[in-house]
Amino acid sequence: MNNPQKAFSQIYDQCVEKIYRFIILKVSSQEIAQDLCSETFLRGWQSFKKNNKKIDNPRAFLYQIARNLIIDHYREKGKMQTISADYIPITDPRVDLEEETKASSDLDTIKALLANLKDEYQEVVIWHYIDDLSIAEIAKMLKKSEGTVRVTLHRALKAVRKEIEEV
Amino acid sequence: MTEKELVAKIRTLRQIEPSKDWVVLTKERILGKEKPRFTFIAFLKELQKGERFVFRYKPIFATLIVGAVLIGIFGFVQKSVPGDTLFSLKRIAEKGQAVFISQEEQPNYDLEIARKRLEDLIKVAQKNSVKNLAPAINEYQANVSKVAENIAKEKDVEKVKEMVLKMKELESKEAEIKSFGIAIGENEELDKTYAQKIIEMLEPLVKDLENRSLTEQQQEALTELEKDLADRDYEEALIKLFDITQ
Repeated sequence: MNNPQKAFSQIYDQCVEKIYRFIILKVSSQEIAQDLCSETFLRGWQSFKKNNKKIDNPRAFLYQIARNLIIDHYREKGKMQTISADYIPITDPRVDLEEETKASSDLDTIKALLANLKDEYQEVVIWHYIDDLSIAEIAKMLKKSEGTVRVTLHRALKAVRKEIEEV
Repeated sequence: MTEKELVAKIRTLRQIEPSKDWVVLTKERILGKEKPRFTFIAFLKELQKGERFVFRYKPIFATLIVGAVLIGIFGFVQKSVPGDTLFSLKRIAEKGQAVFISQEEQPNYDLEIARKRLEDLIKVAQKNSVKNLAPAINEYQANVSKVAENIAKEKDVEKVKEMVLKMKELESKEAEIKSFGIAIGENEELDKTYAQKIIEMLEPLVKDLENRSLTEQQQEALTELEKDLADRDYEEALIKLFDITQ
């Protein structure tokens, strides 16, 4: 495929749902997820053009951009919270979890459970069980050994189970 | 809860999807609007959208409609017979075609037009269309007169022979018209000129034949020819002459 626009268009079609899901499971609102997701693809497209389509694994590349953007988002949010600390209600995130559970929606419940996990657990669960990435692919993305990823995944599942039992 | 059940529960999160409008708009914003590839199915889908489709392909639509109207008019024009409103257009088209025809081919073209007018006349007779009858006869006569004029002007014996044979064909078709009880009047003045032309052509040739030694068959044909001349059936006489000289 000679046209970079067409090539990236295909990548967009293949990855947009996955990247969006990855982001929305880590942020609080749809608007933020949409902003971060479009920013991910915009940066991806700029790099794609700049590197003359030479990106080995575009999906992993986009996940990496999304991760960085989420980190930046929380960093920014942290700063903002510091500025307006007086107005921020000090709440236990578990209260939200309880509310979600009461909503009697399995989807919302599991989403809330996942949100309570550590970042590294969230990522391996999303990638492996929701987006069907292999252990090898995850290991490559996280620059860790496959064994380490397996252990992380096992611990993540254990954490989810514990969350469910506590609910 | 087993691991399988736990994983199944996690996988329910696959239901989370971005809104389709947002996906399309974001893509357009990042990559610019893609030009959709023209496929027949896409065309049909657009067609279902109705009004939007018409506005999007306005120039194509306008061209198609104008084309369809022109084709429709052309069809009606071709089917028109003398006395119809559209017949004048048919005549203009025929005259337009005649402009591109060489001087040499003109007599043949006139013969072709005369043949078409005879067909028109047959159609009118078959439909018993009283309104069209007089114009159709006039048209046919006018065209036949033109053919006779062409024959009278022609100096090449071979071309005269060809045209006379075609005229004979037309005359035999006229019989069909007569079977409907329709009489096609004759242009006496023109007939005289036409006959004079044939006589002028025949006389020297017949004299030449009389001085030649002929086979028995040719001699018989010559006798018949002279009889045709006496009966003033000049066309028939001319055809017989061509048969003898061949």
